[in-house]
Amino acid sequence: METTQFCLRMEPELIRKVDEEAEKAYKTRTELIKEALLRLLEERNEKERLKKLAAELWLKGEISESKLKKILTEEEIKDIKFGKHWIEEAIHEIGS
Amino acid sequence: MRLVADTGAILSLACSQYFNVILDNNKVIITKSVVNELQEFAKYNDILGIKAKEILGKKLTLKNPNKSILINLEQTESEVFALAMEEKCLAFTDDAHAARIVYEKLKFDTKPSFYLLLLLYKKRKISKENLIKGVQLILANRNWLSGALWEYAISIIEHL
Repeated sequence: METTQFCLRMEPELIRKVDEEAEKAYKTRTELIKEALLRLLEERNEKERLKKLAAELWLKGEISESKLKKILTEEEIKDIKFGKHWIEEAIHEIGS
Repeated sequence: MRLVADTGAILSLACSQYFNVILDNNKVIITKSVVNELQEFAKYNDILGIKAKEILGKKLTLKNPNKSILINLEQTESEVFALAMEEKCLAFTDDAHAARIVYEKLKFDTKPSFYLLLLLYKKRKISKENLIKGVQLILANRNWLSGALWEYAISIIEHL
């Protein structure tokens, strides 16, 4: 895969810790930072996937709002409720 | 129709196969801050970067609002909504959060980007099958909230 080189500025203490971890894992500094970033992004993606799944189930009427509250914040629930009405209105306008 | 689009909406439309048809049938206005955001996207060679370059290559109307609105949203969103209010035309956003805030604070209605595809369907310029395909293409590059909402939209459109 094509890669791009870029400059990363970090505190010397953090660089030392990164190098120590890299040495322990027999990896280069680049490999260790890349793996950590990929793990962070995967965790974020997993959280987003769960949020999307919960929102989809609520939109289909398959889970209650109380269950939705376990996964989404209050603001996110307001957004999804508004979004539902927003979309229904847009489609209804065309259908009518 | 004259309309003001934010960055997310114009990128969504560029992802659909009917972008050029939409531009031919509507006067799409964007603000300088939308151009700036598109330029940021264009720095990357992923799908959104490629689409951003494509949009920047089009002759779109560029305008800025005369007055800003006091609303707890990012500058680009606030400018897009302020301009749409001044121009007395529709504002397009795919950000349900921004759409909610501007509605709650200012009672200003916005439309999601796929509304333009719905209009093409209503005018019988595209089939229902192609309308669904268009929404699916938009859906592929959206966050969890828009993703869930657009899937819901497809489920309603299927019953039109």
